[in-house]
Amino acid sequence: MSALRVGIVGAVLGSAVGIGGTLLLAGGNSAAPVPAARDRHAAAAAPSLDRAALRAEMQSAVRAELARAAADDDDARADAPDSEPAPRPAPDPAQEAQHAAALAEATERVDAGLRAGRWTDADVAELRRRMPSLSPAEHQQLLVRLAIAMNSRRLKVDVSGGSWF
Amino acid sequence: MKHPSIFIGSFVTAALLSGAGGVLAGYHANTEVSIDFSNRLVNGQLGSALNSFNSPERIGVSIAHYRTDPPGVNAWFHAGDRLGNWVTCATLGDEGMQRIAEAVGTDSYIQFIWSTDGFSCDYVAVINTSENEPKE
Repeated sequence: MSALRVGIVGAVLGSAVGIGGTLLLAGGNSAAPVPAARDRHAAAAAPSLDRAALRAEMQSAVRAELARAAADDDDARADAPDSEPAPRPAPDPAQEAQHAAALAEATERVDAGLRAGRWTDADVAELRRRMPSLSPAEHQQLLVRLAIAMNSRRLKVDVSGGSWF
Repeated sequence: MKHPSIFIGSFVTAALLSGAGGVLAGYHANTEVSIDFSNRLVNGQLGSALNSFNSPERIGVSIAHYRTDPPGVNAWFHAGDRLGNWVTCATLGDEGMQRIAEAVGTDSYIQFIWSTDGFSCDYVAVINTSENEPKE
């Protein structure tokens, strides 16, 4: 149990004892301070004191405080800086827009080439221009689509250079 | 979105090779680029392809290195025959094939087989021997 929780329990117990004291005082029908010896004697003799009810009230108060303290501990752990995941950098809207445009245009170029069944120097140049803005996976995916069409003789490569991308 | 820096580590194609004169000695084989679509097999020599004037023949390999974690290395073998057919295959991170791709020289003999998936390499070979026809 943490020191905080011990403190809380102590406070609750203190509070409950205070309640009991009030009850004792109330049971004694006296607002005046009562010496400890007399208090104990009065409590033992007071027929109106319900010890079971007092015990139940104290237990209930302790349980409630323990539950609240546990919830506070969980919140504190969740809020601790070292338990938080590293914040992700906010995406740069301009960069995201550039990437989206490059991917769309490169994909459209490949789609058009596949529809036409022809891959030209202009297509190669366009793909090379867009390539730096694409992720490696996106770039490779476009090349794979062209390769499959090429190898199945559905795409005629008509380029003057030695490479088709 | 991570934007990669892409380095072309090597770019070797017959079409881009500059001609270089040399003393021809010994036996030299002239092997035109052949594409066997039935077996998905390609054979060809860089030197012969370059020397095949008035022909669209070409053969070679392009190697790219993506700065990713882990690094992405990919080589594309490609070839074109005198009929205008083009075929290609990708090594897709296979380190053994990557080493083969890096062994391609200006007069290499290249073989490759593309896979039934239509784009990846099943087999690549580079033969560097004296009988390979040098580029002229």
